[in-house]
Amino acid sequence: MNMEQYQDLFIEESEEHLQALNQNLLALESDPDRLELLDSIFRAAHTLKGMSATMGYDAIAKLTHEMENLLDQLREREVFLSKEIINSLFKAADLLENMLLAIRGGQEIPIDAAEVAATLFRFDQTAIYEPAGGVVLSGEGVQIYQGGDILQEFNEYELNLFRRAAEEGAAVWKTVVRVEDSCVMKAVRAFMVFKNLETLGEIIKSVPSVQDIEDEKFQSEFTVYLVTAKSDEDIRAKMSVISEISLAELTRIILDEDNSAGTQALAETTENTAGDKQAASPDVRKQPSPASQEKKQKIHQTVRVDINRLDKLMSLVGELVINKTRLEQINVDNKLNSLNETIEQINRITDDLQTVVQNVRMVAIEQVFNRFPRMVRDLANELGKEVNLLLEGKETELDRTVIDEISDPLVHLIRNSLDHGLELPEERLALKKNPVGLLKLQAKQEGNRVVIIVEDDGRGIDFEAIKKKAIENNVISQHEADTLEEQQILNLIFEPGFSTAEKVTDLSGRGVGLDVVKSKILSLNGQVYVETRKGQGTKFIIKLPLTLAIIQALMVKVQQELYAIPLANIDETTSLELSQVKDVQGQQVVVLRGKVLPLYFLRSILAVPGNRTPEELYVVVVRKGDTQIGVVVDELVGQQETVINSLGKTLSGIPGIAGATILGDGSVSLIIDIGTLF
Amino acid sequence: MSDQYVAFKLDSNEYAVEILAVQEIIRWSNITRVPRAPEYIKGVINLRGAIIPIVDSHLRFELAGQEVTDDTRIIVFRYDDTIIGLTVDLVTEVLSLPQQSIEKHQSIHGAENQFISGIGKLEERLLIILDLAKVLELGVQH
Repeated sequence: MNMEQYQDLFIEESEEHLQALNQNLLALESDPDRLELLDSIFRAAHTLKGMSATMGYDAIAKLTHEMENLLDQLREREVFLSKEIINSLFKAADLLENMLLAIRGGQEIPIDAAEVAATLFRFDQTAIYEPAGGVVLSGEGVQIYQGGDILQEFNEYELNLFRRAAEEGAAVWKTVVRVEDSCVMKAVRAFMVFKNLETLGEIIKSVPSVQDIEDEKFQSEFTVYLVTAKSDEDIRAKMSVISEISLAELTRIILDEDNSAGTQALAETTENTAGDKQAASPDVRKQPSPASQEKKQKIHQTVRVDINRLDKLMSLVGELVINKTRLEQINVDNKLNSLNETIEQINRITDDLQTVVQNVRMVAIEQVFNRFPRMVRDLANELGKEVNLLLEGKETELDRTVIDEISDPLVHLIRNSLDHGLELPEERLALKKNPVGLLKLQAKQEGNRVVIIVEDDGRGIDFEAIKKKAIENNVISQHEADTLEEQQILNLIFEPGFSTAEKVTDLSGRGVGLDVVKSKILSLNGQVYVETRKGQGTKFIIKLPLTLAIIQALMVKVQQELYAIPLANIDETTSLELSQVKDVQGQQVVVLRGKVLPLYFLRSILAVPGNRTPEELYVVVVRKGDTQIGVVVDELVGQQETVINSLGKTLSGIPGIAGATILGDGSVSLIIDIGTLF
Repeated sequence: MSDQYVAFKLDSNEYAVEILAVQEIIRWSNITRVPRAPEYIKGVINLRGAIIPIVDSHLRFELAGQEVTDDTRIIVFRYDDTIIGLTVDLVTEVLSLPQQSIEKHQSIHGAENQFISGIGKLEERLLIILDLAKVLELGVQH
């Protein structure tokens, strides 16, 4: 079988399991008594093992197998949980992640799993390498199920049914039926057995095969494997009504999902003789765990779709929106009343369609947030700090493209908070603060945008340090430093080449500063602000548009040219007479409600040809970072839905131009990128 | 390699480009100026929903400016996944130029010679064969 087509799926699913493994490890670390977490971790490791073995990634299979061994011993209380063990498990998870990365990149890291495990899990080697296998007591005597035995009896398909049964809270019963020697029509009796058992559940296997049994190709006994949620009494009752047969053995096979395809299976048997039907011992049966029931509830019906197809769908909807606008234009130009109704309908439908497609592309920010607990834990350990990480609003949804891009800036901000923001526990104690620092990551939707807040209760940002550093790095002059307001000083941290870290650590202060964060967020059409209070903490606020493909924009006219300004950037618009424009040290300004607003004439910024000089001008007040700027245009045309098209490779990266959009009349208008316009 | 070429005129000279690179030839349409773009980028147009940049060949080859006339056309090239248009004064014809009639020569002087891959001779006509890679090797200098 060609496995390549499954590779993407494998990687994706493995990442999910790895994520689950990491999360549960974290939970276990903070609460070592929750042994059910071990089961979840085991399950994740086990599934990874199964999948990687199927795909032929032996290194992963081996490593997960070693993990399983260790986890199993933890579950059996042969080994007790220690910080050391947790750390080794984390390391193993990291290793797995790297291996997955390597596979994604087209190669496999050949590792000697045994060797790695020996290093990782060296605290108790003798216990780890103990042979696996389950020992089970039955009523009459001892019956040993060696690991391989059960495996040989079932193929993968049947094992899968076992697993599903376990998930659904059903049990697998091995039912050995003996037909009396005197019986004339053995096949008929067998048929009745099948029929009766099938009222209880599903027969997944029989030995010999159904066909052979029907053909009476068996001596006096045959075995049926039944999946049912009913009790053994029910089975016995069903069997007792059939004459000339007896139940030779009724054994519940517990193929613990965690152990299934692996090396061992536990079986718990109750052996019965013909006349002794009631001597069962049902009290030792394992009840389906609450975890598996929970899991059952969580199963949604979903389809995995290639993101490219969604992009294609989105661009088709985009084209539809363009043509809709065109239709509206035709209607306006020709005043066709009969068209009105149809256009309204189309309007509604395209609106709905657009919403649906946009929703399909929405991904919960959980996907990004989930990485952080692990990262914060590692960083805090490394820095010797204690942190309580709070995640809020994980379910907040963002467009897939934004999700992909937002991860790095958030990582940066979190590292920043941990490294520069939060103090060491001793310092915090000295300051009469809780020695455990607080790092809060919050996401929420506000209207058409998503707000993400990274907040810590650390030392805050030192204005003097920023000033000093900014002067050192020639970001500002001494004179500027004396005149700048606090907020302006604070904003200097977003300037390129700026880092206040006294010493260069592994974490931050590597020259890659907050300016990268800022430019990334600006490129996503978002904004970032910072608030800080000395000794009390720092708060970074990121505002992002929900989606990038279709935006609301204000169309403005400069001479004969039309431009679109994203509504997200606009605070307000106002009209203005030329005489109100003042010149302050070469900078044109206007006083708006007592505040001085710097003005930029789009006409000169973009060198728009033409010499019309209108008496009345319009100012679009836009927000760039946290300063307001007035963009002067000749005319406000109106608000419009615009589909953002890229200008292509040749013209990409022109400062001030975010892209182009096609207007109702088929002409092209450029979209202004406020972030890079000035 | 095909020996079919699209021939067109710029000023008084006749040029030719390989037909395989040509996606289509369209009439002059409204071009939206792109501020801050290189000078020889005339702007962008909407080609059935796609935004494509248009190169002004007069500016690209540093020829004297030319008014847009009824004959002005835009040749749309598909080159290396990029679709790009080039304005020309007049598209003359599609013609066949056998390899042996093309002289790989660098003896023509003038601004445009860096874009020339050879000279094709067809009876009395001389056709300047453009090196599309060079002509369309555009990049925005930031």
